[in-house]
Amino acid sequence: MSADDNTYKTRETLLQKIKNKHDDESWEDFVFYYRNFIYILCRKMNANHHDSEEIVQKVLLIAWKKLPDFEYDKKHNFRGWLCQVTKNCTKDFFRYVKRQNTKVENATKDNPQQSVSLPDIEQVAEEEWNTYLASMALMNIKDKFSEKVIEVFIKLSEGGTPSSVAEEMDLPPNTVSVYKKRVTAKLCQEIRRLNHELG
Amino acid sequence: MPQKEVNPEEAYENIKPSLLQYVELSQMGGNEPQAIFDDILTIEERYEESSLIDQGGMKKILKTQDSLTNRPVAKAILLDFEDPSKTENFLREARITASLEHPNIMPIYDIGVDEKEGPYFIMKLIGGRNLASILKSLSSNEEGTEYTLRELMIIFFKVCDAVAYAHSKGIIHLDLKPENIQVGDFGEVLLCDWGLAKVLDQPEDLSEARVDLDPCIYNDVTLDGCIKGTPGYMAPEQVNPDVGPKNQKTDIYALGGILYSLLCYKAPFESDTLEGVLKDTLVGDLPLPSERAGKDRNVPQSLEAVAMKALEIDPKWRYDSVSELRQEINKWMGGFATDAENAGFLTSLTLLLKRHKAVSALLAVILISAGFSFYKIKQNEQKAKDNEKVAIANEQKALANEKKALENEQKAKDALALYKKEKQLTGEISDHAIDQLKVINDYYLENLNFDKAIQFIDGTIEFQPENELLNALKGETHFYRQEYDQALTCLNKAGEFKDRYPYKLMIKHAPEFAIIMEDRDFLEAKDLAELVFSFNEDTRIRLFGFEAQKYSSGSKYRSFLNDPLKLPFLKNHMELCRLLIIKGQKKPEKVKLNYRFTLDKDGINLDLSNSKGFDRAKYITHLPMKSLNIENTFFWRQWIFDHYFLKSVNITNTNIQKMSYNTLNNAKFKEVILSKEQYAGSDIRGGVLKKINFIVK
Repeated sequence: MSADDNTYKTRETLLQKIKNKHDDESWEDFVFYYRNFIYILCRKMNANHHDSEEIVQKVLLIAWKKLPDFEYDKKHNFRGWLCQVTKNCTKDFFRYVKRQNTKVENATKDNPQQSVSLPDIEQVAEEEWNTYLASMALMNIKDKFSEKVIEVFIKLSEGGTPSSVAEEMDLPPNTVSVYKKRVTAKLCQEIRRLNHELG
Repeated sequence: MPQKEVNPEEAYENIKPSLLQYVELSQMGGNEPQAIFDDILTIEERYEESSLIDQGGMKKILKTQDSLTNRPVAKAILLDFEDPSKTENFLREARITASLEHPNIMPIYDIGVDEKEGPYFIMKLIGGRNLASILKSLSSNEEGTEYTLRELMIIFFKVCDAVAYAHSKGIIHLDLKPENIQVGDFGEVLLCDWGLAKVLDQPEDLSEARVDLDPCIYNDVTLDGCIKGTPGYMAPEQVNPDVGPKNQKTDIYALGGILYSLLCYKAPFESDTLEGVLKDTLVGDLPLPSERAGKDRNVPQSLEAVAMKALEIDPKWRYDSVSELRQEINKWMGGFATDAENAGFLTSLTLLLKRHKAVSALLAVILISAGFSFYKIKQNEQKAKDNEKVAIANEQKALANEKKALENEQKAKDALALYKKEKQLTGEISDHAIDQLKVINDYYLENLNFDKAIQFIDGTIEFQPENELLNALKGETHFYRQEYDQALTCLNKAGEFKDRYPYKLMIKHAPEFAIIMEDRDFLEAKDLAELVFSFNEDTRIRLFGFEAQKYSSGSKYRSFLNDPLKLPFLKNHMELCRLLIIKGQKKPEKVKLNYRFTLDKDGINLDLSNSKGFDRAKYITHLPMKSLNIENTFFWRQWIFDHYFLKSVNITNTNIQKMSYNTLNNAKFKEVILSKEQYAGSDIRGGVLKKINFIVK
């Protein structure tokens, strides 16, 4: 990874790249990282898979158009803004659908984030983004460990105590903590890498 | 893109809010600046992730990671930690070992008790192999295992250091063997497994670790309850406590065993059965390492002698201390003769030359340069004379030159003196050498090793075929071998020795026996008896001994009894023996000899009972007897009891009144028939040790 590490340092963040170039390549990068993030936001607002896919397309288009004009220094703003756009699009989508038929009435009704204010949105967006980032990082490093190790790690991060996890997985407690230590180190490294790249 | 494409649905399913904490953690720098500090703080279990390295009867050795020091270590755990006395002893072993801080003793890093695994101790994890496995590879000539004898001796030297140190602390190991010596790849030699160790009664700073190990706890072997140690290396006193107390000498014995195995790659005692090994240990019937080593291996006599001395059955004959033994190895490494070797002049000289290869070469250089300067002096002299003639003005110079020349001349004279001295030395050397040859030849003859004797003499006479003494020795040896023609040829070249005993007699008898031998395979008993009695005692035994060899040589003593081809020789020999007994007495005419014998598969049963008119029968000791009956005779000598194969003796009503402790303790026989009086007078404790069966008539 050392060569990559080096490139990260001199490399512009994804958002800077998009602003500067705004070409096909940066579009691909943008889609690669943000499509799933937007999708996840949609699903969290109770849109189903097909609807979410449709909404994602709309949000991506809007984002792509606005991106060059965006002030990137405050990256929080970007994700907050993206979050807001996604929300609006989802709402629009549901309204549109509702007008046609009322099949997903409950979709927007129960949404607790429907009427949050902008600062809140930013905070929420950042949290969602970070969760997404960490999950992506875990997916990226998964292959480097055995399934058992990852399973132990997830159980521990979800609040399991070493001894209970050890018992559940039939492992010595010290093994469990070693597993955790190893994955944590790797995961943090990967999160830092992604953060650096995505900015 | 560095990542693989993930479809959105999958991404959604893999979202784990719980992972959010790691984003923050990663922003804090993850585990970089205070990583070690944090690491140590968060350690729950110091020793983790074990894998089995080795398992013995009492404990398991695991490889584990010490998370505090972050290095791999070895962890010993007790197999059965339910038993409190075992637990206690296990921890005592750890404490004893921990108290021994020496570069060649396995260091103990930590001792503790684990909830699940019980008591444990942590040791250095050493790569490499144990000495036993090295020896095994060496003996099977496995590729990749190459140790010179010198390297092996360096290992042994370090083991001696370790043991000497432990002894200085009043601790004896009692289970020294190659398996307990770990040899690393970088010169590490570590003595381990102090499970049988004992603290002697002179505690120095070990009051904390005072130990009285229950003898029965650590048994590898349990016979009669309390034998501990490893058969093959354990000392006689460990097999039978009556031999003596266990002390430093017990470790010296085991060190001797290790040295022995380093020389021939085999344990001193190897038998199919445990009982066999223990028996051999008590009897001490041990072949020399050189006899057991592969033919291509050269075992230095000096080291062999050291090993055998350390392996003496009786502790008092062994080395007094490990440092004494260590000193011997040091001597060998430095190229000196060892004490145990009893080196003669020749051996010492050979070693001297080996040691001083460099000096010998230097001496040659000095002589050559001395010769050269002598030539220069002559030149200078000539020059000086010329100069004198040419000009008075040059006189000064010439004088100076002459002075120089004189100086050079003196140098040359010194060199010449040195050269003469050297010559003289060479002469002395060859005189000494030949004396030494006689000693060696006599040694072979005394031991009735006629094959070795002739080999030896043939090997040396090559260099000086006309030497009178050598010819005499060669002739003598041939004579014993009943090769009368060759004997005569050599003896005739013996010059001044021709008139000496026994050569003179040999020259006299050789022709007649040469004729007798022409149409026979062997001399008949009566002829031989005549011949034997022409000579004095020493020579007789040799003449007689060769005859004995005919049926026993090459056949490990007793196999001849199953070999019909050798029976005629045996019978001839029995007859010879009978004749010699009679002829050997001062008044042969008064001898009434009852001489009856039967041949068994494993020896001769000889019955001399009721014989009268003599009280000794020297020659019978050379017979492979299984039982001997001397009931109702005047025999009084106890030498019979040294006889090697004798299993049973009947000494009823003889001049032997009692048997001492030592006689019985040294005896090889298992059964003795004796009278009440004899029994009452004997110190039978010696016999009890040897499990001798007393039958009282």
